[in-house]
Amino acid sequence: MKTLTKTVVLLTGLCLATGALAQKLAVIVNVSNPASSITKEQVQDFYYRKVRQWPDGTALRFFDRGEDSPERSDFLKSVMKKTARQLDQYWISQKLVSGASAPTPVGPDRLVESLVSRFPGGMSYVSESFVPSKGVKVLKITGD
Amino acid sequence: MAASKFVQTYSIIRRLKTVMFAIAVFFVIGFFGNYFASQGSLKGLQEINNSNAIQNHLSQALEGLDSSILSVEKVRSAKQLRDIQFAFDQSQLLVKKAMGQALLHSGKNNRVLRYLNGASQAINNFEQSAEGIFDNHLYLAADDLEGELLVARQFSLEAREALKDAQISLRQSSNSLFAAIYQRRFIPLIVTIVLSIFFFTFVVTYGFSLAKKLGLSIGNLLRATDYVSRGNLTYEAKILEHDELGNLTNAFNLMVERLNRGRIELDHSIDRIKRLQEITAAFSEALTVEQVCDVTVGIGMKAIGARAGAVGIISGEGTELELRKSEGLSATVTQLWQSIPLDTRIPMTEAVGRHEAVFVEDRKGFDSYPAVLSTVEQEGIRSSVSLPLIVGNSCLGGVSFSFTTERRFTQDERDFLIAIARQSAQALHRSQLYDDAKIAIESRDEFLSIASHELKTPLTPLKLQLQMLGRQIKKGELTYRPEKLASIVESSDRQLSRLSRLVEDLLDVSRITSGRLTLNLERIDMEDLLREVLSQYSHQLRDALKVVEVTADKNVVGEFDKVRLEQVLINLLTNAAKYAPGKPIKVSLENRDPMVRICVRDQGPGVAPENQKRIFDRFERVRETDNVGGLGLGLYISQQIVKAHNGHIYVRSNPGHGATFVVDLPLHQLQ
Repeated sequence: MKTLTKTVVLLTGLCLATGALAQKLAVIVNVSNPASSITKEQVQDFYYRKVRQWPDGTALRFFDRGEDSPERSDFLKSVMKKTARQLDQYWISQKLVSGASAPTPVGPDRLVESLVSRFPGGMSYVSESFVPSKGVKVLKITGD
Repeated sequence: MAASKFVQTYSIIRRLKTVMFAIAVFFVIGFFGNYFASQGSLKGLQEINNSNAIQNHLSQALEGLDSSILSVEKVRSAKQLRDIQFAFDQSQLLVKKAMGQALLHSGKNNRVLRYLNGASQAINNFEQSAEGIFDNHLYLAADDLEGELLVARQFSLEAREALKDAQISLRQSSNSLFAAIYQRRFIPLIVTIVLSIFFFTFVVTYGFSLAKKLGLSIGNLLRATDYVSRGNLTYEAKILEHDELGNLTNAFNLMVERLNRGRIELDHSIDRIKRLQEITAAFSEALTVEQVCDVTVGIGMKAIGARAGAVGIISGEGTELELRKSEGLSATVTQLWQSIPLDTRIPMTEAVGRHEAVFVEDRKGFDSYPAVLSTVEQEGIRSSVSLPLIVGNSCLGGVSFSFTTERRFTQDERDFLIAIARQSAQALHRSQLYDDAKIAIESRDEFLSIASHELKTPLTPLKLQLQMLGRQIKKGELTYRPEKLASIVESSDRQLSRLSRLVEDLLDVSRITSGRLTLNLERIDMEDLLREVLSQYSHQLRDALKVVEVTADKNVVGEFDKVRLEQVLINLLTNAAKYAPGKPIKVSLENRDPMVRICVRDQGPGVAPENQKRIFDRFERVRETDNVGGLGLGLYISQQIVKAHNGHIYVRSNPGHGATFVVDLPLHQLQ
């Protein structure tokens, strides 16, 4: 176990040292979630609330991060490929069209973890360096 | 032309009623059609209305939810938890009420129900977590509280989302409903238009055909009235439809037909009157019996188209019919029927005998007249009509027309023939009277010449002798011897008495003709009377050198006019002396109670049978004895006197063997 942790830390460090991008992001879901990986498109759909359920039918609960958190800016840049302003506009229009509102923003990692662990269909994103405790699991974002 | 019996099978009124009924039905159908066509839209509107209400409730729920979450968020800095909780409870109450209302309204809208269920679940979760926060926030660390709040917020978001979804769903369904209603907005109009087209098609076709038929029928009738008013009474209006107008047309036709029949009858009558007038004119021009017979046969044959015609007139004895005129019959037949005894059974004699017309309409009809069968066969006669010629109560004769075909005689023809016969009879009667008158005038003329001659005969010697005597007296000397004078005076006296007898006779005749002959009846002995007359007139008889032989029964007493009977006896004796001079006269008197018979027999030339009746007529004398003088009035007067005594006078004679005048007188006059 320790060796695994070490390798992860090493890899993270490597990435930080050499990475073109500032930080890699990871998706966390409830442990009960059978999914093992997730594509960027899926994440986008989930965020945009175009898909509201996991494939097994569990209600999807996406928790956004605080507006000024580095994870969110990364998330916008690498996954959503939109600016915060664009997203604000999107949600304003969505609120008018479908009544859907933006996912609830949650500040610290710990709180995100606890929320995801409490909802079976919970989901959020964390920096790759985040070490999950009990109740959540990390999914790699695959694809481009 | 006969208008057939009319049976009305259609009715205009009933058809008009049908049209009315159809209009009513169409109205009802139109109403219901529109109603059902709008029904869908109405339901849609109801639903839209319903969903609007749900929308309202959902909005309320959303507001309540918002205030709830605000209340919950206040927990972070809350001092008066109770107030916050109260506010939360109030807003939650509002939310639940609104949700309940929405659920109540959403009925069977499954999609909305699903969303609402999701919302309720989320609201429940939210409430639980909120309750949890309210219960435990004092014991929670700030981070944990924040987590709990986030959870509550998440639930409220979910509820919000579900409610929004429901709203959107409702809006969508409302929109689609509205779109559907909008799309279907023309359906009632189309239904109305289609029904109207049907209705108009029906009314136009049915009504038009009805109107057309009516128009044609009325036009027909108008044309017919036009024709009829112009005098075409044989025009028959066509019956197009067996309805009321057809009935009217039929009635019109019947009326016109009757009118026409009346006109034809009128024409017939006028024609008949014209023909009768012509006949009357023709008859009025016919003066003699022969002319009348000619006219009768000619007109009769022409009027009824007979093949042959004949007129028979009853002879003087009244025992037979003399054929006076026949046409269209062969000479042998005419010869055969020249005179027909009245007891021969043929149609003409039967008509004469029964005083009524006899119609034989076919060959069989002649079987009851065996006497004419041979003639019928010979001439090919198949039917005939025989009519009596009747004037007043007496029949003058008969007229008969024959046809070579069997035929029925219509009442019209019968009447016409009878009218002809009547006209003919009257003309015949007239002509007979004319003939009689002519004969009477002739004999009167003859009588006048005889009378003047007779009157002149005694006057000439009288005048001569008077002149001789006058001349003697003028000379103043009477050279005549007394014997000569006595003879002259006696001769003059004879001439005068002859004259006075002639005048007396003439007076008697005028008395008799004017009906002034009256008898002075007294009781006398006929023998005395006879002797008296014989002795009184012995000198006259002696003059004629007569020998009178008398054989008389005694006591022949009766009531007689003495003077008149003397006149009769003298007349008979003078006649006998006149016609048989120098021959003995036998006079006999027989008492044949209650009659008395006086016979005066001479031995003169006698009287021919054809003259035996005539000699008793006025102005009649037997021609062959022209050398005998006299007016020929004696026997006439004698006959009138005897008739006045209710007796008979007649003559029995064989020409060449003298004549016997017989006078039968009743002894007592019936009073």
